[in-house]
Formats: sequence, structure tokens, C-alpha cells
Amino acid sequence: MRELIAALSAESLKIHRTLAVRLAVAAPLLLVGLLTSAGITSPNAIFRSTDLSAAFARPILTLWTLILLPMIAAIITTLLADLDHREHHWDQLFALPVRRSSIFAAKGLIAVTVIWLASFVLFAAAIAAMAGFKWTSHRLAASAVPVGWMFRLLIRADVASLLLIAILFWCSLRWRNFVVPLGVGVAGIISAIIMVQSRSVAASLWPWTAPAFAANLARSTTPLIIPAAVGIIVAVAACSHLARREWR
Amino acid sequence: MPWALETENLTRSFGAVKAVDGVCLRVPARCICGFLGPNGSGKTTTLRLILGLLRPDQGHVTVAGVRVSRFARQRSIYQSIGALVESPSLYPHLTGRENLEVARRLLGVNAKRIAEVLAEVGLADDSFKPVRQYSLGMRQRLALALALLASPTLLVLDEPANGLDPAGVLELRDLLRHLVSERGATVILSSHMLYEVEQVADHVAILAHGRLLFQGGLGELRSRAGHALQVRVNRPEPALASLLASGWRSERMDGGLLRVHLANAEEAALVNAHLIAQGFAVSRLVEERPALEALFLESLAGATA
Repeated sequence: MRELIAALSAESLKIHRTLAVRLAVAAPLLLVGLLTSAGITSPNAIFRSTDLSAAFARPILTLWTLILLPMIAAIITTLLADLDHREHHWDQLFALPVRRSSIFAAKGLIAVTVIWLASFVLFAAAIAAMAGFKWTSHRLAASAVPVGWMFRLLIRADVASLLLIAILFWCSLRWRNFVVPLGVGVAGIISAIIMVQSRSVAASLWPWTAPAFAANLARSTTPLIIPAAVGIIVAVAACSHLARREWR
Repeated sequence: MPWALETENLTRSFGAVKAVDGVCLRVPARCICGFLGPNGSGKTTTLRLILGLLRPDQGHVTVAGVRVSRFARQRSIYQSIGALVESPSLYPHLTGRENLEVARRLLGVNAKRIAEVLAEVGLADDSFKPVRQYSLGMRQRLALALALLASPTLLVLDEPANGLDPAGVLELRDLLRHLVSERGATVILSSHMLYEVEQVADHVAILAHGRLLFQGGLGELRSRAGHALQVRVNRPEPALASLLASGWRSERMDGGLLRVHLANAEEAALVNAHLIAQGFAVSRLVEERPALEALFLESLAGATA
């Protein structure tokens, strides 16, 4: 445990001033910013409903969970892995008296934290935008800002995203070429857009659709528990495999 | 003899190629061991096996009397080893100090060590700059600082002088000598710069085609090559004839010098006495020390033959 804490501390320092962290802040701000500007310039098109959760929060959640979250998960895991792939840091890291499994576990936890940071930024920005609309628009003045509702759904989406993060984490560290994890990420998003049309149980368990289903089917635990549990198993298997393989 | 590092029948293949073939390396404690070999001889693979970065097909590594397990990362062993393998791998977006801090957190050493090693490698003034702004020499110094961070008793350095300017090379030489004499460290120094190795190493191991051709003291390697004497006399031609007639294999050199091959170093006195007895005026008598480069090439030629 002490080794894992030391590795976490080292990994958290490594991500300072990285593109991955900047992206985790910028991507959700961009999404909320675009929808906010659309709401300001064309309020009738965006706010057909007077309910903020239906008019503003739901489109954000759908876009986030189906496209942007899987997309930034692919980019962030690739960028974080590239920190050590770029100058082949593995020799330096593995020559230290720390178990490789601790190093990879710390990398996985940091990747999840950065991706979830993006979700938190999205939440904060969306709440701020909705509060702004409520304050400035008479039509939306009666609607409550859905703080709890949005927070709960984003947490569900984040937990359900563990499987896709674990897969991308494994790919990004296993293959030095960034095309592999990004290719898997893009293929996953395309498959999700196709699969989300069918509201079957199988579709809700697909790694790239699970976050969207978890955020939409607020009372169903299937798209939440199973991807999260499988995600943890995949992450443990990834750490074990990466720790055992030879890095030449 | 207490070995700082011992490998027993260390063997590693990549497919059909045997990169390291039954290497039994013995590095005495508190010395600088020059680890030499041409490109592709298996030097880096051997170093990677020693550091546990690769698993051997056969054999094992013993560090300071403790056998390295193939399965566990023994903290007690690897905490005492500092390494710089191939090119320095640093995080360019972090400052020099932050790069050291990353390693420090993993090693669990005192934060004071960062300032100490930065001063040792001469990077204290540049430690707050991002590494992307560093020159090759500065990067090399920082990589060396990383290797020194845990105050290792065994230092494994692969081409540490790469990119260093002449002053930096001199400083590196002094630093390595200081580590051995003052801190009792052992240094394994793999380098293509044979002159540099010759300046600091007291022990040499030569590897070719994955096999260890020689290991031992530099003096032992020199004595294998035989002894020779450079002699300046007032009449070189008759002196040469006299030496040849007395059974000493001798030859003429440039500048009126003679080279006399000896069976052992003590024979130099006999040559001197012989020439004086024959009436020659001897103005110079110097033992020839073959350069490490010549010895190295001779060892390789012997292996190829």
C-alpha cells in the first residue's frame, strides 16, 4: 500500500502542465460553452421546454456520455501513456525498487481521476450556465437548477465508464503507437452511436454505450454495476499483464 | 573477495539470437569496472538483466551477496542500485527538480537529497528550468543525478559521458572517483570511449558476441599483451644488432628509438645493464603501456580467430 501511495504521488506530479489535464478542463467547458452560446443566440430553439433539466442538462448529458466522455477518455489515456512511452521511461521506472503492479495501478487511478475531473468540470460549468439562464430568462425563472439530479446522473455515467477506461488504459500502455488506443476509441464511439439505437440489455452493457445508458436509465442498476465490476476486473488484469510483460 | 556484483551463467536469447551467453561476471566492491564491447555485443542486455529489466533464460544475479529473485522486486537490493541505461529518459514538461522529485517519491528518500545531487552534477542553477530547454549535456547530468539520488552502493552507467563537454567529462571522472573512494560505491561503466574508461577504471570486463572474453584488473589485461620497452641510445643500429644477438626481440621505431619486447617487466633492468656493458649511452628507458583501445581490439581479434 505504501508503494502504491508513493507511485500515486509520483504519477500525480508527472501530470503537471500536461495536455491531458488541460484537455480535461477545456473539453467540457467547450461543450457547455457551445450550448450556452446557442441558448443565448437562439433561445427558442434550445429552450423549447421551460424545464432546465430537459432543455439544457439532458442534451449536455447525452452528448457527454455518448461522444465526448469516450472521446476524451481515449485521448487522455493515450496522452498519459505517452508521457512514459515517448522517451521510453520504462527502464528508468522499472529499475527503481517499486513493484511494477503498483506503478501501473497508480497510472490507472490517475487516468480515472483525470477523466472524472473532466466530468466534474462539466458538472460545475453546466450548473453555472443553468443558474445564469434561470437568473436572466423569465421563461426559465420558475425552473429549479437540477444540481442533485445532474450530479447523480454524472456519477452514474462516470462509474459506468470504468470498463471503457480500463480497455483504453490497457491499449494505450500495451501499444506504444498512439494510433491503437485512439483507433479503438473512435471505433468504440462509432459502434456506440449504432448500438444506442437499440435499447436492449446487451447494448446497455457495451463499454461505449454503458455511460449513456447509466445516465439515461436512472433507476436501472444493470448498465451501472456490470460495466463497473467488469471494468475493475479488466483494470486488474491490465495491471497484471503490463507488470509481467517484458518492456524492450 | 567480496563481490559487489556477481552473475552466474547469465544467458538470454531473443528468438534464435543468443544476446548474452553464459556470462559469469564478477565485479569487486569499491572499484570502477569498465564494461566494454562492440555494438551488439550484449552489453546493454547484460546491464538490463542485472537491473532486472529483463528476465534471464538461465543463470542469476547476486548483488552484494544477495541473490536476486526472478519474481520479486527486492526493495533492499534495488534501493542500493542507481542506473543510467542508454539515453537519459526524462519528462521534458517538468523542471529538472521535478524530474528528481518524481524519482524521489518512488524511492522514498529524503527531500534534501535533491539539492545535494543537483549540486553534485552541477545543475543547481538550472534546476527550475523545464527539461525541454536543457542541452544534451544537461540532460545527461540530470540523468546521472537521478541515478545518484538514492546514494547507491552500486552504480550502473551506460554511456554516461554522452553529450558531455570536455569539462563535463572531467567532472564526471572526478565524481566517479569520489563515489568510489569516499562513499565506497562500485561503478559499472559501459562506454565506447575507451580512453575515458582507461582514465577511471581499475577493473575491466570485455564482452563480444554475448560472451565474456576477459575480466580482471587493467594491469592484468596489459600484462597479457606482453611487456615492451622503449629505449633511446646514442647508436641505435649497433645497439639493435647487439640486442638481437643477445636474444631480445627488438625493432627500430621512429625517432631513433628501439622497442625491446620483454618476458616480464623486471627484464628492463637487464636490458639497461646489457646496453651499458656494451658501451652504449642510454638516454631513455620507458616501459610501453599499451592503450586500452589496442588491448580491446586485440581481445576482439583473439575472439574472432
